[in-house]
Amino acid sequence: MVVLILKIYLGIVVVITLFYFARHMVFTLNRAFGKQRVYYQDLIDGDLPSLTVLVPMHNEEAVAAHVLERLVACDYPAGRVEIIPIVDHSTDRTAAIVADFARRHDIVRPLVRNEGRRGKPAGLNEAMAVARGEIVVVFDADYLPPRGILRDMALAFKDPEVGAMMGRVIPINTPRNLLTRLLDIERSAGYQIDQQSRYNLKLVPQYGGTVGGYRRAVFQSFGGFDERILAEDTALTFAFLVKGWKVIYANRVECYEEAPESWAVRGRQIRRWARGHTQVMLRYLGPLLRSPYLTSWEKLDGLLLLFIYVNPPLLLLGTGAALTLFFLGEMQVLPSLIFFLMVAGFNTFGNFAAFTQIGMASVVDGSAERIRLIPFVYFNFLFNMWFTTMGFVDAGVDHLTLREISWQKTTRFRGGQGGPA
Amino acid sequence: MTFLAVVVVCLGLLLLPFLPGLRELLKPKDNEPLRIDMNRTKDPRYFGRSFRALLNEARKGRESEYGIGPLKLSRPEQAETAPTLSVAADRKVGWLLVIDGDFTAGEGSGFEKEIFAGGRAVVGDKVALRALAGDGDVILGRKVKVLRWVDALGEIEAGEDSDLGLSVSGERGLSLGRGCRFRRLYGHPVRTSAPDASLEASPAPHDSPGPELGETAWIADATRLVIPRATEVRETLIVKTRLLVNAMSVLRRDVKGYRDIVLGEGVTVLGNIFAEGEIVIGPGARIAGNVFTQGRIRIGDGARIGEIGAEKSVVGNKGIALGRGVEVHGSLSTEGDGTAS
Repeated sequence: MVVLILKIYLGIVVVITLFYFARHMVFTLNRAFGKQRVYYQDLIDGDLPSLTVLVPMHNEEAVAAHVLERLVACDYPAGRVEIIPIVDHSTDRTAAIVADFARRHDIVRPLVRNEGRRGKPAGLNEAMAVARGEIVVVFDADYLPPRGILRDMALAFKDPEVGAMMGRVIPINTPRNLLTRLLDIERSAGYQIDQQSRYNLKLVPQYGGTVGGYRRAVFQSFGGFDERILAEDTALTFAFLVKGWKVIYANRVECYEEAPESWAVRGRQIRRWARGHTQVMLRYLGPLLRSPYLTSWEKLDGLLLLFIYVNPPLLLLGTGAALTLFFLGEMQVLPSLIFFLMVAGFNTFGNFAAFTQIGMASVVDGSAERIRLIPFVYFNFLFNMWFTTMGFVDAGVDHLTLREISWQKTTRFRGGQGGPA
Repeated sequence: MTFLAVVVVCLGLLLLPFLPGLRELLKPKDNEPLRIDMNRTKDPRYFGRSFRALLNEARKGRESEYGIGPLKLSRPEQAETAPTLSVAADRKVGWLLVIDGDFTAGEGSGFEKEIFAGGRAVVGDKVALRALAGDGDVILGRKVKVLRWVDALGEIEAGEDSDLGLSVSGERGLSLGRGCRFRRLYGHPVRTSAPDASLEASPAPHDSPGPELGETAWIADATRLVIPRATEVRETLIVKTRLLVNAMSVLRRDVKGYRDIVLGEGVTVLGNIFAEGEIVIGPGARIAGNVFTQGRIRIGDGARIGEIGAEKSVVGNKGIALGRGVEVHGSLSTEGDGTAS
């Protein structure tokens, strides 16, 4: 009986993995050979919407001045933009740095929070209540926005159907160590291939919570951010999507970030993302399937996106099932050629499907030497699988126990150096 | 011994895929962050402005020196500087020209490097030039071929059948002769030649309003939404089928179409137009906002986009075809073929 259950489970995992493999390959081939949709960066319009830039900051003294220097130097029309650094329960010099900018620049209007729930969603909700802009744009504190980025971001909202937009994130500390180099090529694949293909195919590009923007009044009419959800960006994506608004991706809207430089920090980040994403899956699965505004393809892509963090725990258990069956001498799961090919495909391609995206992204970016590192991504894959599984379990416990969830900030590594280029 | 050899061979094979990566880690060839231009800002006159800035820097303190000699722009160049210059027909010039006053290029002449003209620049028929920045008016003859760009502080006139390269931009008006081909244009306004009275009876094919127009009642079915003649629409329109708007209608807000959008004669749109398919703007239409599509745009005779002081854009990813007497206040941009009839 146990063997039968293991065989059925392994079969299900193989089918799911092949499904995701097909998805990865479709995206890669679309980016390589398909019709590419352009973003709105070629629009020149003298009448831009009013903009509020939100920068959540919790103990960000190492990076706060850098992001603010870049933002006040942006070329957005005067009188149409305000910058709200959200100083959220900071105990370091962040508040002093922000206050100094506010003294020197009228457009900087800090929001200092020392009471209430700590965390990005709570801070964003409070800031949106005092924001004046039609459009809200968010940057994390470790980001370095280029001079023309706000204009490029705002143009998306000339399209009456766009609810939110997302730009491209590029690590600036790539040379630091193996981890930052692997994150660099992973980011390339995620944005240059995955997000752009979804935009090309009119599927579901994802708002990533930074280098992105959204219509403030519309989002507030949805009730704003749920402060218990750790992946507020994914929640926003689906909140707009199920109500018929589009989320779009802008490959040309590029911004530097600081990638985690230690495996411990990266592990915590992945675990938080997995936990939050699973919360969003439980919240939006029903609304997504019931939404009258979405095409079948959008629903399918949305579904695959919602389940993306379920994959690693499934794979981890699938690997365990496969090993158990192997040592029991029961690996002949089904005596059919088709299933043999599926298992072979699972092992040959399924596990490595994401790596084809990395290779293609490196080619499109004109930076092909870095694909030599692809074999090392396998270790990252195993690492991610473990921490994602932990995040998935966290979310399950959250759901069952309704326990209090606290926000964990990503550690910065800049140490006050390496500011704006 | 055999076992040890097998283990060593297996470990070697296991390590093999990692060797190129190890080499890249130890002796990096490609470990810099992908480049972002941190100071980039959208400027439709970027080419002209950056060229002038380089030129001013290079000539600082040597403004009144004339002759042929080296000049360092982004890299060392050979340059001819002169108060005025008239280049003979069919002559080929292989160096940079920096002319403080008027500049004339004879028919069939060719210029491999950039030209700066401080005064009026008159370029003869069938001239091939790389780039031209003019502080006065710039007049391009018939069948001129621009390889890169033209930028002017004064008026620009492009002669018939000219190929306008990557970009033509100006602070003032930009007039296109018939048959001009372009990628990016920017002017206040950009205008095409006026309709020829003798041809008005037989409009060009792209000016025809299309067989589906002419309906007198609202029609909404699986393939199209038809708005009847002289209808006023006050709401934003988002249409998943073809959108057909009959003559003299007024759309007061933005319009978004998942497929084609066809506007009849004299239609007014006070918002922006976005589409995934083709956008056809009928003769005499008035569009106050931007026109953007992933497909092609065809603009009929006498149509006007934007207003004086309200800069807007026409962006057609696959192509833009302009009728006669068209006026665009702002920019036009395409990755496909841009043509003026």
